[in-house]
Amino acid sequence: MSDLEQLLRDTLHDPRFTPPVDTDPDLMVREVLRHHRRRRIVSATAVVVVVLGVATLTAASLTSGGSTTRVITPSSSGPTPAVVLSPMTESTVTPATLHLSAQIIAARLDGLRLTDWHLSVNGRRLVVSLASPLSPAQLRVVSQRGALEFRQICTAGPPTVTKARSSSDQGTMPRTCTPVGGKAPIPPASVLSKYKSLSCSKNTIRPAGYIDQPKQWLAACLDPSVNAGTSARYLLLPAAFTGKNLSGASAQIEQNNGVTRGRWQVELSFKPSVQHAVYDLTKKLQGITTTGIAVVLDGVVESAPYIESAFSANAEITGNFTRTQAQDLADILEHRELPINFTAQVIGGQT
Amino acid sequence: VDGAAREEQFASFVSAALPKLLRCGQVLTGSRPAAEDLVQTALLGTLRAWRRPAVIEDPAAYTRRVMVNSYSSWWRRRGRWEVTGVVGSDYARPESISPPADAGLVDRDALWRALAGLPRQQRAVLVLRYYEDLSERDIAAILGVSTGTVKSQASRALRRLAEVVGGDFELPAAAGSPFPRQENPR
Repeated sequence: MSDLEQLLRDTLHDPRFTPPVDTDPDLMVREVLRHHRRRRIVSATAVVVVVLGVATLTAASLTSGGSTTRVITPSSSGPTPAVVLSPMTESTVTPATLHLSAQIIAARLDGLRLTDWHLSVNGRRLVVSLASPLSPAQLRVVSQRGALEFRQICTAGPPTVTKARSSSDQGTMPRTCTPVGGKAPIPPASVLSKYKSLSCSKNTIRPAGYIDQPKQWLAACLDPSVNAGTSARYLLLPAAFTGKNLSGASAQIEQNNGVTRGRWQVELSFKPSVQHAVYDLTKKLQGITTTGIAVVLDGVVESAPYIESAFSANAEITGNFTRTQAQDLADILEHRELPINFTAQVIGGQT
Repeated sequence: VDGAAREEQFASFVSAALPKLLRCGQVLTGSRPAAEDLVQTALLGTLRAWRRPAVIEDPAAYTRRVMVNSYSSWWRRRGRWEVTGVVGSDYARPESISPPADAGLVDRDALWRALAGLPRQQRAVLVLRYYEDLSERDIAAILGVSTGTVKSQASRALRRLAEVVGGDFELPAAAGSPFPRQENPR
């Protein structure tokens, strides 16, 4: 063996050039299964995708010289649309969480079926450059934390009208939750007073800078965009289950005994380890109209379904979803929660 | 019926084999995100062929074979992503984390960079030969080319590396290697 061959062998085996990658095997398996299922459906269009992919890559490799600073520098021919995601707090930012965030966001971008995108980790920020600007809904899919919680409802009602926020209005508020077999839980005063003041107006539905705390009580608004414009507020118990207990999510067309009304829903499957607990809780709540379960995503109630009968493995989030809304929600759930809260800044193009 | 069982087997295979596959992917592609993409694509192939004897026998070897082939042929996702900034020690270049006394590292680093300039098939041949330690015949079988092509690709790649790294390396003896016919690399 020559010196060069020996050097080559040593180099290829030198762990310093191939630092261990801490990719989560679960995430990898999920991604592969998702592509596996999708490919069975789209095989007829695969050729088009491949051709597009080649064109995209060629263009991208010509324009990017390895550095991404150019992405956020507006050029004379107009700025490239880009989204800069900066961590909201520094506490959870590590190379590992940034790397995981990049993986998850890359999977979400893939799910949006955009023709061309480029994601880079630049310092503590993630930079997504795009061929065309994202819609507000798409921006949310990309940057949203994706913290899903299933919470039992303590009480619910129409939101406070600002004028009527008087003492008489507050007097009607419950001090304990509606009991569901056994003793009624008592909400902490701070969350109760937050619930009392919730107006759920357009700008306050999504709490700014929300950081999820599944072990705490929560006062939250219903998302009217997927609930036929209904406005409501909820006082919620600590989370019974979170997105970590899910094994998958997909958008499906709603069917009732084979009859469809063209409405979309999101189907969830629970991991085997929690299926018993899911059954116990839903058994307890079945048939109760006032205090069921709320499905909360990043501090907003997406759905508060009536539980017809107990379930364990699979659940559906129903609402007045359009196909896109259902797919976006399924994509966020399927790819897990980001380990970091990001604020998104849009550069170039209009939103 | 056995779809769920297959997915379960597949998941346990992935959690056991993933670190090694990613390492191999890094050696092939030279980058961590590209390695992840490559491994993902290859695993998709493995999952689809799950019941074939070759997969049942040794799914890791099968996956590595798909990786090498996907890498040396043409393959891409619709988007791409990469790490460009220095995020932490995790992404530091080798020279910045090692003591300067390690003289061999300078050569290795130069060689590692030179590998990035090789055509994909040539790099794949080198990885199979010097990282996986496979015979020329096995390499030829994996890549679906003749052993002659394997030899010519390897010697061409080594010559190229010697040029880049610096001329004072002795090339392997060319015993029995001149080929009557040169096949075109893709």
